Amino acid sequence: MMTDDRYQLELGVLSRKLSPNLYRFFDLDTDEPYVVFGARTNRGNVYTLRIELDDFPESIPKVFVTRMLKDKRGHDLDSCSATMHTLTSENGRTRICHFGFDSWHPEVSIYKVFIKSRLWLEMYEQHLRTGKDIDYYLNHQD
Amino acid sequence: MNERELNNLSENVRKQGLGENTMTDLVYDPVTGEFKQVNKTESPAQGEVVTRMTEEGFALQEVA
Repeated sequence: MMTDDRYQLELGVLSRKLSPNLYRFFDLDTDEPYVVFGARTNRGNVYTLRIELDDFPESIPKVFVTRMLKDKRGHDLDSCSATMHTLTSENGRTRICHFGFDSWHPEVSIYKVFIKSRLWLEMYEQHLRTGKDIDYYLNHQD
Repeated sequence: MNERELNNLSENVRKQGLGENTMTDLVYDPVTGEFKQVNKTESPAQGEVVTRMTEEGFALQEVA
């Protein structure tokens, strides 16, 4: 559970780095808090990212695109895929694999999770153009 | 950003992830919401260098 001190720290980072209309926290006083980001890619497409914070920062937060994305062949990105950096989807939302167990630590900020997810979106759109898997562009963690 | 620039950016992200030396840094511009490339010898006029995040790579395994 994110403490109020941690929430204030995260809010401070986000407010320094992003426009306040790009993100919004929800349900902070519940067991299932989350934050939503608006993300616009370089090609001008807009996505919504949902980062679930129920065990943040102790555990890796789940990151979802709030709809089901399809790969270049038209297949849903709904399963665990090392080549596409995705995990099993939930509630019809594509889930991004952004951090592994070995690299996660509680000091990682929500902002950093957002930046990595935003970069995933950029490379997802490049995949749609070139057909190359996302892991062609985004290296796996050691 | 045109297609050639987008392709170039993506290839540089790949190279940086592989630990190859590139002449540019990856910068996230919070005003436009775009990624861009800036020569390493220059400071970005706007935005933050996020190359390190690329170099760290992405997750491989399933997480709970």
